[in-house]
Amino acid sequence: MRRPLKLFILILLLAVLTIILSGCQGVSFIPGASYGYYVWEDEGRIHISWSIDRKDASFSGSISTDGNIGEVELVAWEDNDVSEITEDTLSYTSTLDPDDYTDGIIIEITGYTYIELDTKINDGYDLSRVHLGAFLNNPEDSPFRISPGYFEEVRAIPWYEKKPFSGFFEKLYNNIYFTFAFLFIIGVIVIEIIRITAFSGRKLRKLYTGIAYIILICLEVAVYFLLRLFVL
Amino acid sequence: MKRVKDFFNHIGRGLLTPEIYNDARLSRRFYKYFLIGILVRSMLLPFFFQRDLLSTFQRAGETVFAGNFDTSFQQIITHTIHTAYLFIINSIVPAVGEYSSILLDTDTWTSWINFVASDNIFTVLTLFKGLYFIFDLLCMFFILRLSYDNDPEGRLKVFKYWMFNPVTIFVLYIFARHDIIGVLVTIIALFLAKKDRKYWSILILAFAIALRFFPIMILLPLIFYLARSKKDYILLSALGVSGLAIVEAFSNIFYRKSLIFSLLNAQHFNYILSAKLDLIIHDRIFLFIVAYFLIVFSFIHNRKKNFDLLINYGAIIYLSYIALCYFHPQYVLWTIPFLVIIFARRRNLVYYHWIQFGLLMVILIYWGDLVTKFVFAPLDHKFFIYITGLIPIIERFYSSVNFVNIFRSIFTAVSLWMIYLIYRDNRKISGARLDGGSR
Repeated sequence: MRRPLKLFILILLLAVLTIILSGCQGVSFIPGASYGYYVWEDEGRIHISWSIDRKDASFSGSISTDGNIGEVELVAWEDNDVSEITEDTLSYTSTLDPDDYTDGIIIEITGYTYIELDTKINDGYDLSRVHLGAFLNNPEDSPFRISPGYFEEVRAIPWYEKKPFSGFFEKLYNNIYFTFAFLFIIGVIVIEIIRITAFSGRKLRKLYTGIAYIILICLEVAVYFLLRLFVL
Repeated sequence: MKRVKDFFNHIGRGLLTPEIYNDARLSRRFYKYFLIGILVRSMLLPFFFQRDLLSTFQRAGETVFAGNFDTSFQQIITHTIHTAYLFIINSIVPAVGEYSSILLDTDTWTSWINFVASDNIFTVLTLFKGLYFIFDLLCMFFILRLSYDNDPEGRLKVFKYWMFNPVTIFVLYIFARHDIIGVLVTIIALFLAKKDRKYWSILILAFAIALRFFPIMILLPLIFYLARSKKDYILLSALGVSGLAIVEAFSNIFYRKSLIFSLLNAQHFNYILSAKLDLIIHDRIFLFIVAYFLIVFSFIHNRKKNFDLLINYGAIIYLSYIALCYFHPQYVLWTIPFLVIIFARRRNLVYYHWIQFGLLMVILIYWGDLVTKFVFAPLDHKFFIYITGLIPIIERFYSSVNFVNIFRSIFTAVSLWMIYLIYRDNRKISGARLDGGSR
């Protein structure tokens, strides 16, 4: 009875972990719950969507380029939402409310060296809510430019440089003496548990315990180099 | 060498009780539970906290860094303990002093942001929560002695249930609330009651009441358990309210305002009155007060009172509180010292307790980002500030209030069912000498 329960919990944890980690690989949002701009590229077309947690809000801005604007698709657009296309610029004003969860634009641009985006929320800028290709991959200024291959570059960023791992590893590295002490204490407790359970009654338990401590020290050194690699 | 060994043997026996210490199998199990429990606690210490922890230490910081003692009028003793602790860790660890500007910042949002974004947050959080860890350690060893005098196996079970209790771990090491201070003092009061030190027991409980209001709920059952004569009833009742009276006198002299009336008018006291039956015009019945006095009358009329019966009634009182009244998640901790003792006898209650805990995790959503995603902010503050919260996600599909209240109702049902199971247990233990103390 206990084994299937443990197996179930393990599978559940793995599933949750997979969802969390896969969530870090791209930009995804829940219309009507997530708040901000979400920009990504799919099959050569740029997707720009915006959403808010069921409140009244206006999203406005522009997309301009030195390339050619091709097909433009307005997603979930309502009568009061406005878009205007000139040769090199698409301007938009759109509103969301408790019943209108999300609006968006899918735009095909070819032959460009840059795409310039200006993304306003309620006539102001909140750049931490503009996610480019990955959650919290935010622009530093507005308007901001995207060059060709930008989204491939974002996709190629290793997991440890993405949030929340990057922030966590940075704190561990900046506080390295704490990290060492913390890992050492945790390691000592784990070794002690193994000593009184798995090593208990064995002839060579002292040797095994010694080896466990050597492994712990090696692990500390490895953690230092890993954190250096992750952070620097 | 022999003297050193004897010294440690003496400490071991003192901590573990001789019955467990002298049995190699039991002492090894004890050590295993202790280590695993400490491992879980240690792993959580540096990484999580709820905003209230910072507020508590900000008030202490006002005293330590700015010399202002007038910051925590309603919780004078708790504030003094935190202040003394902050003073000590500030003297030992220089990193704490670097946080003085954050602790003195009166803007709740910027001080929180600066705190969670700081480089040394893991060190400081470990130190802040270390205070609760000390009290938790003390609780572990007192709770071991609270029951099952001639049953070391039973004592070990109580210890195990405390060490791996999800509510204890959550409230102290994830939520990081200070209720454990009052809980420890209440456990000591119960321990003294068990040892028949009636005046000391009530005095210590009076101190616990001055620390936190909750122990007042077991004052009446404790008086009825300890008193043997009319004189006892008068003396114990006077002693019982002495803690509050002293703190009231102190607050009147020092702060020039009444603590009791301030508490009675505080939002927190209204929680007790939150479940009510409106009759007509002004007539209203407060359900918890009705339930509380029914429980007390039931205890009074039990002719064969013993210590385990008192523990059962303590559990029933606190379970009724969380079943019927509005509460904060950390208040569930007050049920734990009583429940872990009952768990050792009635294992089926453990399963209900885990269900209770699971439901509590859903009920938490009530309080929004502050107690859900922001608890994880020390890991990476930007990620946990901007990630979509649970309420907007639920609200997208269904009314979040209804959603949470469905789980709240199940929580109440589970708590009431646990009360029924404990009440059934009362009949079995009534008059039995499970603890060596019956009257």
